Amino acid sequence: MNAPLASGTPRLNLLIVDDREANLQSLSQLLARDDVAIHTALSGNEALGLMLEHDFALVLLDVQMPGMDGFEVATLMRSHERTRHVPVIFVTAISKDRQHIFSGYDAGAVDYLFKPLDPHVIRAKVAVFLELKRSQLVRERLLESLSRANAQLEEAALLKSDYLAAASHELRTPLTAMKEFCSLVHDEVVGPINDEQRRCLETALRNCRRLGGIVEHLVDLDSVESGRMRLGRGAVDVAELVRERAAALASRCRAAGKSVEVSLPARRGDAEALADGELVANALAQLLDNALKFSPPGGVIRLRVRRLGDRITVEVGDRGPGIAPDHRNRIVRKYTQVDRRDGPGEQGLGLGLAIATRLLELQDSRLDLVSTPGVGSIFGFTLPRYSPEAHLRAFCGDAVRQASRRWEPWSLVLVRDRLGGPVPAWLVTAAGQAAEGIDDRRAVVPVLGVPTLAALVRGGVDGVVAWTDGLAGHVPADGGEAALEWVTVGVDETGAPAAVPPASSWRVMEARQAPASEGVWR
Amino acid sequence: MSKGKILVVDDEPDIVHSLSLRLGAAGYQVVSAMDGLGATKAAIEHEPDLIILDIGMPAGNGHVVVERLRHIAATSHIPVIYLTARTGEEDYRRAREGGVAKYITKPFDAVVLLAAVEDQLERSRLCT
Repeated sequence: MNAPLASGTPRLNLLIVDDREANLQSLSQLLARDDVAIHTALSGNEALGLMLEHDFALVLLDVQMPGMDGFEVATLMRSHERTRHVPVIFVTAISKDRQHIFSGYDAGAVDYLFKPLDPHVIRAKVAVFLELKRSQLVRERLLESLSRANAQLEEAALLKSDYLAAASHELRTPLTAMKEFCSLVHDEVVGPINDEQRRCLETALRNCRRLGGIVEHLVDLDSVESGRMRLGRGAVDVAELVRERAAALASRCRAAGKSVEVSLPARRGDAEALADGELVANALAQLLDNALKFSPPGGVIRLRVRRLGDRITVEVGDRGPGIAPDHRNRIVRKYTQVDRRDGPGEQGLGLGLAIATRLLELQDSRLDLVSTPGVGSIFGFTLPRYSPEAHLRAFCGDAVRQASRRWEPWSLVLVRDRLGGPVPAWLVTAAGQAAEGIDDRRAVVPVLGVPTLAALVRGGVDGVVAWTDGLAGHVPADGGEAALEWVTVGVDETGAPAAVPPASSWRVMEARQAPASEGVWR
Repeated sequence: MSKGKILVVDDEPDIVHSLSLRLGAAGYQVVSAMDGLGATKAAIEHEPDLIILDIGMPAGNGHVVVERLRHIAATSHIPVIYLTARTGEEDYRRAREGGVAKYITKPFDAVVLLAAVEDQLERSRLCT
């Protein structure tokens, strides 16, 4: 019945406790297996001593013993961390009445065998517990190796970030000298030059600037990937953003014999998106760079912003060479520029589109591409339309996701002016400084139509109390404007907030005015 | 007549050389130092109108130099412009705390640097 023991499989420890030597012997014989080491004890005391030395998969415990009985042994086991989770089978001749004593303990870890013992039943039960222990050990080993691998990966990622930061620093210094000396000659600081020489130096300087751009990109992409870039989402007028970018692009286009066309929604509110304005502007800049780079001379770059229901789409179309279907996945990866021959001379590391992709993914958007080789490409992305509810939801989700991969109790605290006025600037500053050691993330979000400071505070109820107390201590000395009220909203592990309570549930913030010596937050 | 005396501090001789040429051509008198200790000594000895300071240097980085200068009466008022390849958040924070007037990153644009220098000297003149 016993399978040969696989090499490396550890033997499991089984403990049998009975005050009669004869019982111990017969049970030991009955349960003997190659993969099990059987230990025996004649009393509860001896059993507890053995438990401190060995890690047992199972304890077979006689109930009626002189001195400490089986139930008392089990109670003591449950009170110690080391033995708390060791499964117990009570071996007993008494009725089932006293079973309820242990019904409250770890369900499934306690079982009963009634005398006289049936050899088949006891073997089967013991086998089940041993199997359980084996799979638990395998699971623990797996978890351990997973967390080790995870730690190694995190360390490697940190190392990479450090390396990139150091490399970019090392590259910047010689680049600065190169650029500056070319520029000194070009600007005739060290003597007159002729036109031909000036043109040569302009080429050198243009390439210095390009090299500088590449160094910047490397660091940018790294800070996006390592999550060091923080999201600050709010209402972004995408039409305005596109208009600005298009104006900046137009002069570069003219110089290259290309042109820009812009199409925006007629109504102002139709282009208001929930996004991080800076990240969207950056992503858009990368797309425009790409379009300019790959447009042929005389080509038109088309920018279009549209509202489709609750979404706002932005598209950048070019008349470039287009991208073949099997190349599309590659372009969003780092360091790939599809078929370099197709570029009209201006080449890059291929980082721009990878950066745009990451910037959009950070905001739960993505880079879409429609392309016909020989005709052109349209790069686009979609953002949610702005609404206060979506804003609050996104704020909580981002904060929880970025703060920690572990689930910890989070509370969303909302603070607002009781009269519905604007959130005072000192409050936003103080919210970041209140209750040192408690991690909080904050934003000003309209809630129930009132500008409100939303802060995600870690540490459950205690955290909230400490945080609001710390905040109250920052109220300016004159106190006149500090008519604040606050409320807590539950947040689940995905960062989704519960409904905001009605006005009647909000509590007045008891302003504890700062002593003059502490200084005043303004 | 000189438009003002500027102390240039960088551990890279090429950077010091290029800045001396650039600022000299713009009409400024330039003195220089190559490390943190030299920077402090030169600031006390020459009492420049402005200091252009690198951050990553031996014998006291830029932040340390700024802190030292702020504690010396003769140098506490001298405006400092950082010119550095470092872009860490911590560096920006310490620059703000130390009251650094301007933070310019390498590689820099000569036009931007000259404008910042002129702007700072103009402010100093208005204050005195």
